[in-house]
Amino acid sequence: MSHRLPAPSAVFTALVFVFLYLPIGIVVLNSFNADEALLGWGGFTTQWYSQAFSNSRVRDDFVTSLQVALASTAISLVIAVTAGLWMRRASTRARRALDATTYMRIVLPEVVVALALFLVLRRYEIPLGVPAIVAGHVIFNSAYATLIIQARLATMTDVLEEAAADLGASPVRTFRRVTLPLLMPAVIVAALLTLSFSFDDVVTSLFLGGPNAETLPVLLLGLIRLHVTPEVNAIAVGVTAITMVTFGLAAAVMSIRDAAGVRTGQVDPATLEAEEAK
Amino acid sequence: MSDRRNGRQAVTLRALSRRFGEFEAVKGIDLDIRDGEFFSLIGPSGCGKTTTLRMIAGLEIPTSGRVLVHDRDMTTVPAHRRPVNTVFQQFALFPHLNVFENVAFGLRERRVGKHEVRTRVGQMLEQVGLAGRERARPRELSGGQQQRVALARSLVLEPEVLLLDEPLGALDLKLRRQMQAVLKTLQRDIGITFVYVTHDQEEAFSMSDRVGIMNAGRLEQLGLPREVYHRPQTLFVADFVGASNRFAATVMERLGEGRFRADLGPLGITEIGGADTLETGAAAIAIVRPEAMEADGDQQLGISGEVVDVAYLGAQVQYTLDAGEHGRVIGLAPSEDDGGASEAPRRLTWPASRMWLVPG
Repeated sequence: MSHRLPAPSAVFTALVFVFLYLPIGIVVLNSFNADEALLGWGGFTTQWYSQAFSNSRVRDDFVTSLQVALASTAISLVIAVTAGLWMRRASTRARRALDATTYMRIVLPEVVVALALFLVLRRYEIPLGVPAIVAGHVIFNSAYATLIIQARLATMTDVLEEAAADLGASPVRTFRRVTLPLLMPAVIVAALLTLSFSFDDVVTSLFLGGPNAETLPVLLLGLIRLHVTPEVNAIAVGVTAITMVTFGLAAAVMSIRDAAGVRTGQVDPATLEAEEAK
Repeated sequence: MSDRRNGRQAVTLRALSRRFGEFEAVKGIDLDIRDGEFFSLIGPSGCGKTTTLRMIAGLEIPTSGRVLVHDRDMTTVPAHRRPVNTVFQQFALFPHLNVFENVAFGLRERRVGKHEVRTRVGQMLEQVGLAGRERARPRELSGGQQQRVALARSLVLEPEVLLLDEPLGALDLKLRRQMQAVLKTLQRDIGITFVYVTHDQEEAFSMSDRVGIMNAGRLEQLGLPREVYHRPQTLFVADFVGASNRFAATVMERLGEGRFRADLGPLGITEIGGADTLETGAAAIAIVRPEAMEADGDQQLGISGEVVDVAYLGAQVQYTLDAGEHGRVIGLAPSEDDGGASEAPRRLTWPASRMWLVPG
């Protein structure tokens, strides 16, 4: 028994750990490494973190990254909710067309979209910078958000909105009091995902940032081109931590929803009937 | 509520039609529903009854025709501005709101003051027996309780007309019977006009003042449950509201309003009642309800045959006779605990007064 070969799945898992998590682990370790040349373990230090925090370029780029992430998320959510609601009333043909544009934005290589946008902006002499990066991020982020919102809407029937109208709520009030609250879990998940996608994006930010706007991941790319300072490790760990926390929140929201059983707007009365009978 | 009981029509439908693409769901319905009555629209699924109800609610726009509520034209008024409320088939409670907020939903849309909301919702929940469950979420309630929240949510707004779309469809039989009694009492107490849609004729009969039977988008007959059952105007209505035995007949002479002399073939020539639309010489079908049959009796009309089935139904015993050219004839007789001593009948008889002619 103990001499059996390891199962393929175990081998695969081990490889994932080695190739994916080992480098990240080394980065984390080195961010606390006092040996500046990173040749060996020079003892524990947090000086690279304080150095990074006191670096005004790092701070500025962090703010830029945050601005881009928040703005592109907000715009993406508005687009996703609007598209989702419109799709419910749209004809099959219109729905297919919209679906195609959604998938296209995900499937098209990011580098191609970013390059195309860059060329268009240059052609019309529109300056690069934060607004350009936001536009670039919205292209893919709105597609992911649309998919998440649509999945939620597919489980919701019109009957709750009809009930709201029947009870005297105007279309706007119905959206605010019924549709939006029921969509909220999906909106939160979409927001957290798009925030993290935007926050760690390099390609689009690099093409559309120009000389005026630099995000944290772009700064990282620039820093390793010259020479790898221990500070890079600290910044990378910071980016990782922020991304992981948002992803973690998204996962938590989804699992809380499942635990609460609020996946659909309707409850099967038969289940409760059976419970009452007991 | 007494000011509403002045003989006005609560709901008036004029030439109301609704088409979905090629499909004509409702084909020109004219209907007057009286103020304060419990009115039921019944018919098989797909007959257009729910579409008709939704057009009264404003959830469906008529292709043509008009909808009036207390003589005010509502045809183009959106649902949220109509003085009617609906109890939906699947209750449609808001899952993100608790019982109190579900019931308060409409009051808040009307900007009713905080204090009044609390009083009215409290009274309403008391009335439907849900006091103390204010904080519960809909999913924590049983089907029967959800049903009562849906009812309270609509009634708290004191609608001019309450529309109910198969509201008991999701409940089991025992709870249905219970809720039927609750609904009937509630309607009599508050005096609001109820328009009730169901495919269950027994349910409709037990609660309604009047019923309308729909078939394929048309209103086939309108009347008291008793009239509809005993004096159906079409074969469809006769079949939909209960079982019947059929015999081919020919109208020989129209004797007056709903009275005919008919040739019933082997059963002879006799004078019986029938649908007003029948003309002299028309082919017709004479129907007899199973419970009008007397086993081995000596009534005016009768038929003999081989017993093929005796089914004990509890309160009644159902005999099925094979009557040769007439096919199968079914009779119902009160059941007795005779230890199975009585023999199955060879002959079923009935008075001519229990026979009724409909167009064939």
